[in-house]
Amino acid sequence: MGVLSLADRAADVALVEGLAVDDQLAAVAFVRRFQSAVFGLAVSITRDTGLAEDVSQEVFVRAWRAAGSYDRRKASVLTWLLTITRNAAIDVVRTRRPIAVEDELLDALILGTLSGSDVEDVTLLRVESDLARARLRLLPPEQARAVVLAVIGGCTASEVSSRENIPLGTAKTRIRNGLIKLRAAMKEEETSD
Amino acid sequence: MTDVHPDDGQLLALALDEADGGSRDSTLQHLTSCHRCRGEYDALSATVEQTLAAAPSVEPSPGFDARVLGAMGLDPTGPVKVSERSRRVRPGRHRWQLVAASVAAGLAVGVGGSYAVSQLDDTPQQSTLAEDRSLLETPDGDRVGSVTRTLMDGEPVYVVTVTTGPVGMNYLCLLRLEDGKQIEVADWVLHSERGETWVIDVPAQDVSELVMVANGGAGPVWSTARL
Repeated sequence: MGVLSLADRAADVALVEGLAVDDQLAAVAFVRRFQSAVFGLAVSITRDTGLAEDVSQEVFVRAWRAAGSYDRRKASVLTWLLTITRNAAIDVVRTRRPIAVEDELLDALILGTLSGSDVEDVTLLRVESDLARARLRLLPPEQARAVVLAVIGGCTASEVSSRENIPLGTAKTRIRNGLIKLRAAMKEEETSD
Repeated sequence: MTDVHPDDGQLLALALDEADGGSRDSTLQHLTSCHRCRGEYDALSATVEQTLAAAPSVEPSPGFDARVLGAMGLDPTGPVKVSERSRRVRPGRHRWQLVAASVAAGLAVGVGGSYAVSQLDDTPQQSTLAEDRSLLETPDGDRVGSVTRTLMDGEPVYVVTVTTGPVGMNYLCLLRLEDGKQIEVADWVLHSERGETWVIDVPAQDVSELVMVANGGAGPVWSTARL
């Protein structure tokens, strides 16, 4: 498992800094570098590629507006961008319609998230994704599923309860306990670096 | 500071962005002055954020980057320039209200290895993607989707995206090989009028065409893509 190199992190930050001053080359590189990650999360939450593309476009516009206030000490560029994505996607989906809890699509999401890496080149995106997936695989399967559904699928605890056919309280407990274990794994990574 | 601490469920709901208005406001108010709860919330929230990177990467449709740059007021094919941010057109949230037809991601259950759409190569060069993408067309020349060759877990796959078609129809997906033979790779049902996407393994042999045959293979040929 790799660690986040300073060079990779600096490269991403440089793109954001370029975006903040309207550097056209930086903007092009920024969008092309992150579009798959942004769109992937957007489609995971919306389960609708047309809507996901619209959300993704809005995410990049929001990032462009906020580039000047990006703080590298708080989060990596990928995490910052995906947080914007999750907020935007959930915002849109929950104001437009109830989220359909299609078994096949959510099964696919869980499978896709908990399986191996999905990019060929060794980049910061790949390392961050690998780390996040590796942490999820440390969880008991039922907790990992609940966390994936809630965090990456954008499902409410009630929807997780319905999808997993478990009481609401159990769904909340699985999500929360899963997140607590993930947090512990992150701390362990920090201390071992 | 309010006297009552929010319970675990309220903090979790806030971290997952699913708290309703009243609960959200009161919890946020509490967090402004309670360091203990604030610390717990921050930890949950940071964990949620750092888990997002596990989401599968999926390549958007061709031209997406150009549309984004256009929304920023930038021309991706134009000369490099530094423009004034204030001069740009900034679409508002109402843009989302205008979305009409869309395509839903789907699941394939096929022969010889097929996957749910979720994990595509995120190669940043659009030209590379364009070269590997073929149109899926009906015999009448109507475009009904596309087939893109990409990588999943380092293995070559075809991503078959159907953007329109008769809902409920059962399709047999065939790959025609350069040597004239053909292999059946999947049997799919189109569940949504908005379309679906499937992923199939690329065989070892050279492939010339992907064919979708209606009625589970009983015919007629519904669409083809030259690969």
